[in-house]
Amino acid sequence: MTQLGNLALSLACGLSVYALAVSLWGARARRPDWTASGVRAAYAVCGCVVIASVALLHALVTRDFNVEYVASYSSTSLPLRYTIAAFWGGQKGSLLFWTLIHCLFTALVLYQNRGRHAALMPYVTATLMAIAVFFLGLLCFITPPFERLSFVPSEGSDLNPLLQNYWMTIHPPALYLGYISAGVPFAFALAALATGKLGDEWIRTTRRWALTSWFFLSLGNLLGGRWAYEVLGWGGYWAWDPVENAAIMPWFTATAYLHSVMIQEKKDMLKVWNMSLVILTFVLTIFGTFLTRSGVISSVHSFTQSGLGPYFLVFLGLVLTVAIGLLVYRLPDLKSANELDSMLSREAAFLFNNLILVGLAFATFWGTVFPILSEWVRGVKITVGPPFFNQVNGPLGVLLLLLTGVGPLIAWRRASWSTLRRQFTLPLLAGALLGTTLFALGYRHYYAVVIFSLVGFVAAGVVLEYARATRARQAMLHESPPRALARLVGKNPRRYGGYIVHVGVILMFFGVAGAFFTVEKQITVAAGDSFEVGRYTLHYTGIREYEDAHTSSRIAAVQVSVGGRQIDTMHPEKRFYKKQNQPTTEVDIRATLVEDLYVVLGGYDVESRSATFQVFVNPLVSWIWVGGIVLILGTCVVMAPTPAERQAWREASVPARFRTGGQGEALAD
Amino acid sequence: MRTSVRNRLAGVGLFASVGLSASAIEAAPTNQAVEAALTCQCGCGLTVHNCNHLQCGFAIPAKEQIAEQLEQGRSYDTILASFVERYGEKVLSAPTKAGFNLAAWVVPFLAVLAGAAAIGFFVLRWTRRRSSTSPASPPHIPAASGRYADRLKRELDTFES
Repeated sequence: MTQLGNLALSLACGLSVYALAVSLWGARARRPDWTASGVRAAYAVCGCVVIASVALLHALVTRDFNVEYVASYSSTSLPLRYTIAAFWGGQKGSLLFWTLIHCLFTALVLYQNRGRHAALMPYVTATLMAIAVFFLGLLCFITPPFERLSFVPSEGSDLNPLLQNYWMTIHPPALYLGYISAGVPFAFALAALATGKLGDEWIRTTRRWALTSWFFLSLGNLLGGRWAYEVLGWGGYWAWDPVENAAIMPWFTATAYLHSVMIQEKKDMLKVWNMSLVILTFVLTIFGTFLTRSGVISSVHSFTQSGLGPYFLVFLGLVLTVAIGLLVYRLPDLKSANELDSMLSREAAFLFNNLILVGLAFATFWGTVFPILSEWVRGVKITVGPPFFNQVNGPLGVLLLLLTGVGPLIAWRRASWSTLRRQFTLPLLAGALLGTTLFALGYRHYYAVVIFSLVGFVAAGVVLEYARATRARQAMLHESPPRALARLVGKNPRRYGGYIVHVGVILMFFGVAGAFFTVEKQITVAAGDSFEVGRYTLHYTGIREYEDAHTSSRIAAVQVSVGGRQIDTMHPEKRFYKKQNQPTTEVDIRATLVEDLYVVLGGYDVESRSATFQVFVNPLVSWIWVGGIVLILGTCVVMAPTPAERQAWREASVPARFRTGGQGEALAD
Repeated sequence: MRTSVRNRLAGVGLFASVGLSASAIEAAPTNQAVEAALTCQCGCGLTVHNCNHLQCGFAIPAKEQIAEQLEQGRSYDTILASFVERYGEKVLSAPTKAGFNLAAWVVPFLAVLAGAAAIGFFVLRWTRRRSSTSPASPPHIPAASGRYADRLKRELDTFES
């Protein structure tokens, strides 16, 4: 099976080069037969990579330890779900996984656009195949996943214990889906630049792909945060680690693009800016992969570190050269015919929103690479850690939250002072009321009070937008409130789904602001002793042992009481993974919407049965995950077809003979 | 001109927010504040405060040293300086705010301010140009008939979406 995998990869590599060459040649020579051949070759590449992936999975599941990758990242006692997760748990497997998703997306894009965008598609195929050539080249010549050992080990080294967590089975694929799908809008952007078809055709075609990429980047970051919260055991979910930074940077630029693209759709403006954002987002996904794999910056997350850095750097250079070259070449054609009407307009608010989002991406990038700069310039190693990012990105994040509330309340084109007053009065009052109430209640953390006030302001703005539009429908169409609300969202999913996404974002800010009120305590206690943290009394009753073929554990029992009433028994654990000879901290979390009680078993003494606990009371953390779910639901609404799209699809499904010529042509376009 | 004043004010606000936390620490250094300002050297990538390794060879003794020095009444800066002297600048969890390191703190805000100034400049230029080219009085537009009014409403709805 592994020989088949090797063969499939070699074939895929050759075919991807062929697809790239014939697509470009076909486009230049206007030979549809060549471009069609390129498309068929791309499908074949996809098929070959699927075969290679199945072969690697087969080797993992059948514990073929003669394959170096299988021996390095699995073991006989590794549960099946983590054996499958080992596919993306190591360097070579994750590269194959990346290539697999990329090729599946390529096939999907080519199928979706068959018979459409005749000018663009050859360049789209060529760009997507160029990316495939790079990854397949690495898999075939630099880091082959089916490499065999000269002997057959009786046991594998096992998967890194930190990766043996259910969040880790879904976090990397989600992030990879986000990274890789960013390649589709990038391919269409390059195609638009190459062909000079710079209208909004490529934007309309890739809208859902851009949203898909953003959706999975959001999901990947969220799941990564949840994984860190449960597995790393330091009480937090985001440490501004370089690899975390690498994942959040494309999210910032993709979010900026999703806002600024609306200005291009409505006013035919910001063409250069939108192109730049699409290119930047894709470049940042490659930069993130480079950071994770190059080892230039030490990170707690670099599970797939290797010597691939220079190859990624060269690829990054090529991508930037081609993209910037084409962009500069087309600059005269990308000039906007229209201009903004007023500073007091939604367009202007979106521009400032873009500025802050790109500013956040830049600040994160700057902080991530600054240690390298420092070493170059001064020859001194420094660390740029959480205090830097909290102080630099924090104020920018607060500004972003403010603009999240301002944007939807300002009219497109030009807002009058009277409409501004009408739109802003209630949300501002709501924010001020919340802030004043918190201040009166004794909350003196100025950052938190500002964030809570802004959360109130944005939330009130969204509620007001929904309420006004629902009432208008009720008045005009005599609909019941639930029907009016449902119809409102159904008629305009982009706008009202976007507001749901905003609600998700403000809930996440709400949860993050809770961190200002975290209470923590580290204490060593004997069995039978009690201690207090915040409003909780924790009674440590003892520690027990558990062992299976894969792990051995020490599990503490801690009774939790509030006001003298026992409410729970928690079981924080120290787990020892036998094959990797590595201990992990298994946190126990009692989560409520008000606060999380987060108990870590820091250490223990077997003879005296004493134990050291680190306990955190983390207020409002659950709202981050709730906000994440709302954000995901909102994105699903945004991606729902608009009434015009539904109508077009319905008409497209009608056989051509029942359609009038004009309509048929319009729909086929 | 007004825009640049606004930008400057915004800049002052941003820098003030950066400075505030430092001044708060100076007033009353706590174990947590000092521990959070140091990076654990065990390879966990976390701060000394957050490292929860069972028997960390760096974070545990560092926490003890910090507690001792605070009891002796040493200041936040003095304690950090003692760690820098021993382990080098990399032990600090954030760059110092002096010399070349100042660029780490200033450049992101300068970039955002430059961007804000650019947006302000272009938007003002566009809006001024539009107002100078628009007619003094709006042309007379006859009242739209019912059919056109409906169409106008539909298109405005689409534009708003």
